[in-house]
Amino acid sequence: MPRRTALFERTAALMTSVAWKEWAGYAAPCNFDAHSEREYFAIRHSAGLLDLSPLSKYTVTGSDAARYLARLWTRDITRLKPGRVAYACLCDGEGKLLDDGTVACLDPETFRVTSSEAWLGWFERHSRGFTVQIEDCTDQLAALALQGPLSRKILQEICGVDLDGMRFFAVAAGRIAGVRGWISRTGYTGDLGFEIWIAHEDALAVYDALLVAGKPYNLEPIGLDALDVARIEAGFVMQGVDYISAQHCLTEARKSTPEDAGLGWTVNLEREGWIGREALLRERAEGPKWALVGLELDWAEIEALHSEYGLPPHLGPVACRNAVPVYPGGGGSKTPVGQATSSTWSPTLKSYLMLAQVQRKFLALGTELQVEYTVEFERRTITARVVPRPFFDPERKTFTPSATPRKASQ
Amino acid sequence: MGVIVIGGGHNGLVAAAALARGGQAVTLLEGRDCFGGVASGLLHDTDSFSPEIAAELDLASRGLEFQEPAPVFLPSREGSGLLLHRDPRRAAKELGEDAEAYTAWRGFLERVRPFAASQLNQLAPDIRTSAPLLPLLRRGLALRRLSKQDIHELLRIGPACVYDTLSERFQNPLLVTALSARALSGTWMGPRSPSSTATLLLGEAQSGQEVVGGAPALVAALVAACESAGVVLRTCARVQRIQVNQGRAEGVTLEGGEFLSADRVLSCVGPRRTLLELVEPDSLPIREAGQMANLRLRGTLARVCLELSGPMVYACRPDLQVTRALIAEDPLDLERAFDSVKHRRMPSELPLDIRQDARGATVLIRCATMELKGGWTAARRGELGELTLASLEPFVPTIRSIARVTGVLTPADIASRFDLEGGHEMHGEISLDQLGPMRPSLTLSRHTTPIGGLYLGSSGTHPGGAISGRPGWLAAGVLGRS
Ligand SMILES: Cc1cc2nc3c(=O)[nH]c(=O)nc-3n(C[C@H](O)[C@H](O)[C@H](O)COP(=O)(O)OP(=O)(O)OC[C@H]3O[C@@H](n4cnc5c(N)ncnc54)[C@H](O)[C@@H]3O)c2cc1C
Repeated sequence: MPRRTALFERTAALMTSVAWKEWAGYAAPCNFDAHSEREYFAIRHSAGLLDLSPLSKYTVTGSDAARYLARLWTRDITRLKPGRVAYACLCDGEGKLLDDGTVACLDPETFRVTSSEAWLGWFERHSRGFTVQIEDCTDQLAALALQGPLSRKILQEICGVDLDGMRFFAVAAGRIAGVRGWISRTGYTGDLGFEIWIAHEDALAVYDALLVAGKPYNLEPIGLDALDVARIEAGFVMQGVDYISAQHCLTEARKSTPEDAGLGWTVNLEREGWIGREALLRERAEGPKWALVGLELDWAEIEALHSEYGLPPHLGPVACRNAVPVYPGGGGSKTPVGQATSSTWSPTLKSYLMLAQVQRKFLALGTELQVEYTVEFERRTITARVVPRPFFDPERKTFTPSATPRKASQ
Repeated sequence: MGVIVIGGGHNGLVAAAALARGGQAVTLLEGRDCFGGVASGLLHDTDSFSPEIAAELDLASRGLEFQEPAPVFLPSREGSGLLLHRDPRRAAKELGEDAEAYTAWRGFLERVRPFAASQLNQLAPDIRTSAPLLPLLRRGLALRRLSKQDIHELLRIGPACVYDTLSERFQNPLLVTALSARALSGTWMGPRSPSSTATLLLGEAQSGQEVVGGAPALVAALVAACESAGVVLRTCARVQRIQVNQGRAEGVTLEGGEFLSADRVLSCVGPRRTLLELVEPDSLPIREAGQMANLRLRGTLARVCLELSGPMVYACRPDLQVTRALIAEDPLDLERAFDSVKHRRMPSELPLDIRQDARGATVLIRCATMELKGGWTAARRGELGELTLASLEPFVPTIRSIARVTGVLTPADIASRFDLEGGHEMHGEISLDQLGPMRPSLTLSRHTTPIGGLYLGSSGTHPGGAISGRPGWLAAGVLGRS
């Protein structure tokens, strides 16, 4: 039985549906109404409020905290400045992805780590020899995601931190609705947005205060279905969907390196001493095998295919996480060259999008591929083109209205 | 630049001498104020020391001589005890009805010895290469030189416990006890633990003649060999860090801050300490870090020194003067002693391993667990001294009037005095899964490490414990060829 987060009683009361799903051992709403469309449009046009508490959260402190984190994560945490957040990967000794997450530097000896899965055992096992304390604060710390173009206005009404001056991937301590906590300009929607980190017992008060402050702005509580569409539009991969954590893979072939999963940009191979480096140096020497690409399906073909069966085109109500094989363009070959792992209709872009892992020779923009598409229980294929990822990338995501000149880059 | 050898135990001394004789510029750094490591200052058996290494290093010219090892005396409450010589002809009279079986057993060990010795005198087989069977097959051939009968016997008894192996051959429990005790040193086993016969065979394959003057004479000869080969010898030079840059060892920093650069570093301190303490944690791949964290090295040794004002007279044989004695009448005494190790208890009856001369005796207690419940307190230390006298009293009734306890080293004391991790004298327990290609672990057993220019050569590496000199010698060979 999944557990309840600090906000369970409120979200349960707000839901007209009973659409719960298990997220990392907690009950999380999929959508608040029969359909998630209203929530999705809130994210893109006003703001959505999500209970993020099931995320695994750790506080890492001590004089070696930065060096220790730099050993475990692919980014050089020793160079992360206080007030900054880094998105990074966690690899095993063979350079295979275990998870991805964020590391926030609260002060030079205090860091906040988030991940999709619980890693306390891994973290402790590899802390030998470092002066660090690692505390799992998943239950003590609630988290809220406030995402959307109006999120800054709403949050500013109830918090003292200067949000206009807050840069993308910054974190700051402050009061929110009178409660002490942290705000980071991070998110999983590819939009302007913030994440709010507060004590478990304060969570309800802050959530309620945000709903009240957000009312004039059409703020909506949102669930995971709307989030899933938004994150695919933003081109973000999801652990367990777009790549499988190496610790859950039964075969080597199923494991992915950061490069395979489109996260190669988080890796600096020149830096020494981090877990997985040697294997990834070998990967670089031999040439990586896979690439993550964004695909856009040919709408005319989808329509034509459905009309063969006398049907109008049918779009699923939510994003789809069933992986389907990808074939080379032209339709000649029946040997898959990859798989599309997430797909969704994008209500904003009005197109059908997929995230796919393909052999590297197919990664160039404009490359045509064929993806499996099932109509009336028959497996057919549709032409898909490699397009830039993120699919949706508004300027507001990173724009800072009153930016003071930047001293050092993140 | 040249080579730095860390740790001036006997393995470090052997390695340093070998490397310097091979033309390397060698600096040997010892943390304590004297050389010899565990082999310094204690009365030790030296019959494991490799005669081949003694010859290669020309230790004879430094005054090293070998002799037949002294017999061991096992007193008994009833009867006249057992004075056991290794040589079956000399042992025959004492052994009576076991004499024939003992001769046969020694004969078997002598036939097996060339095979076992060939494993000990070369690198552990590389079972990770693409054709792992080849080196194993080649070693298998050495086995083929044994008769079918001997091979069958080896395969039959190897996995068994020494208690079974020896009890089916011999009647006299004192004989079984004497042979079992030897098999158990450096292990975490009792005579009824599976595979203890394999460690017995390993120990027997290593043993031969002993050094005249014992461990101090051996250490002195090795130091002299180092000096004449031009090794820079330093004591009170405790290494704090092995400096690693770009995945290569480039020197060491001593406690106190002095930095010494080197092209290559050979660590003759334990592999776990080397890799988990001396090397920065972010220099080591997690595979090896994990292997070292899982290495078992639970010490079970305590030592009691007795000052003697008169001869130690064993009641069952008052006229006998011996240098080596073992107090335990039945192999199950050893098993019960191991029970107290297993359950982290203070032992109640002590099997004692004694080396003595006219002035004093060194008593080794091989069942005092490092992991004692409640820890080793001063009171517990006192108890060990008293237990030693109490355990001796039934056999040497005058012991309390002639002996005075002058020093007790609990396992915790041994750990700090000899700078031993876990209090384990061989830097890793002797057991089948920590031997050969698995000593100290699968990827570290051939003396190299994932860190370029860093090598391992203490008794924690192949072929393992005791004062044999082989780990240091083999490591020096690998480094010299690199
Ligand atoms: C009480 C006792 C009785 C034993 N009896 C026997 C016996 O009868 N027969 C037998 O064959 N074996 C016996 N052994 C085991 C045997 O003595 C050891 O296995 C062997 O001597 C180990 O040698 P080594 O050179 O590998 O390691 P060590 O002798 O431990 O040498 C390591 C050296 O490194 C030094 N060192 C450690 N850390 C550092 C550092 N950071 N920097 C610089 N130097 C450092 C230490 O001071 C030490 O001198 C006995 C052991 C003990 C404790």
